[in-house]
Amino acid sequence: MASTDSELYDGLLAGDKSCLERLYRKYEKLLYSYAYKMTSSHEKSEEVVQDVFMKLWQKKGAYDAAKGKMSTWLITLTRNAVIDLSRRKQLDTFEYDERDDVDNETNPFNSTVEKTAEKHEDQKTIAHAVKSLNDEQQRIVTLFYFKAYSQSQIAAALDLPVGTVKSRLRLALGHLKKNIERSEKGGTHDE
Amino acid sequence: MNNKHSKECEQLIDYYNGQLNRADGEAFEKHLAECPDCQQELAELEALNADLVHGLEQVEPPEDMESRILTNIFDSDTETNEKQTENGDVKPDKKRSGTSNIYKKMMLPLAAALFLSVIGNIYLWSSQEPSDSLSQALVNEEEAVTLQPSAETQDMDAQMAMHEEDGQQTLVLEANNFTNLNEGEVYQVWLMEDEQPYRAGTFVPNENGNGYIVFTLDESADINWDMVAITIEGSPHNDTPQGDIVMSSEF
Ligand SMILES: [Zn+2]
Repeated sequence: MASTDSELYDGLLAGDKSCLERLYRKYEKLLYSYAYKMTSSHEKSEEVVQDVFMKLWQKKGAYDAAKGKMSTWLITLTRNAVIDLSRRKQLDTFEYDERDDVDNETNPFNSTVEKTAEKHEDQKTIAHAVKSLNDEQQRIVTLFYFKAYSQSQIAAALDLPVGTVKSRLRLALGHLKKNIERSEKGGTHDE
Repeated sequence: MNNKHSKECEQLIDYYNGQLNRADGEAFEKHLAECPDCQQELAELEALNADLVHGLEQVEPPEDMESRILTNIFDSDTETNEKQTENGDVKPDKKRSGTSNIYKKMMLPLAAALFLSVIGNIYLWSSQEPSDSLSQALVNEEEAVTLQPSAETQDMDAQMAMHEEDGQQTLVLEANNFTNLNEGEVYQVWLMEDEQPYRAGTFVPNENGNGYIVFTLDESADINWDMVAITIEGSPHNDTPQGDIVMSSEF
């Protein structure tokens, strides 16, 4: 029986374990991959995923379907859980290293596009949109979204005046958004 | 992003990344509740992030993660016990299970009761000071123990208390002026019974040397601990103390 995310969510609020299990199975890999991208730790990623679904089950924080997709909400919960974890451990989860460099082979967006033929169409679209940004923009997006850097940390990492970080970031995010919208409308692209 | 942007709106980015201290975070949340611009921009940041996340390369979770997590979640309804080893295997009750992972421990219901339900947002964890509720838990605890420094660590200050609830022991410890860590090292708390050490959590203090820990033990509540000690360890996973004791106290 197919159920929408909202139906599953209502079910788990009513205490139906099978609804939580189904939501878990649907989003486990996505959220785990995201947590892993932010923490580079399998152990922390597992803790984060558990934290997210524990919150769901314990009814902490309410999902409002009117405000957006369930997946977006779960991704935000995951992000907050990663940030929580790093702060309360007071360890630097988000150490910047060479692997985050956009020119590097291991950049997840690069490898997604170029090395794996059978990637989901969405993934190709997003990866392409990211790659269409210039290097500095890719870097600022990574530091902001995946390293959760503060404005002053971004400024230090990219050797920019703090005052310009926000405008550069907005510009980069604006481009990114447009790129995504364009490639979603334009369908396939040849790469 | 219009001209009505106030000074407060400038903090959205750092708020989103959990980079504001507790007071600023709470102040911003008040602003957020009344600022449609920030609400919309936050929603846009979240939506774009979700797009990016869908574009990430997928990482395969461990095969047994699902059963571990679902078991832990459904168990949380009925019991506060937690039996996870370092590598995450679920194991039966064991004599010396104090080697369990602090990451997992921090998620236990007492910690939740102390913190999450009270504040309900991330600013508590990101704040640079122990929370009021933690300080209060320590102050209110009649059996709070003040640890004694070993010789060269005289400025350090640590207090701890044990809570007992439903047959579970939870150690709460607050540390100040803990400033002698080298990179990669952690402070490890140990409880001793007849010279047998049990791990009771690790912490890395903030830049001011303040740290705190809430750690629930697997051991049954009838163990009579005779000593608590804090050592400096090169790894948060050492099963036995290898570094120097910086503070300790006998019970
Ligand atoms: Zn605003």
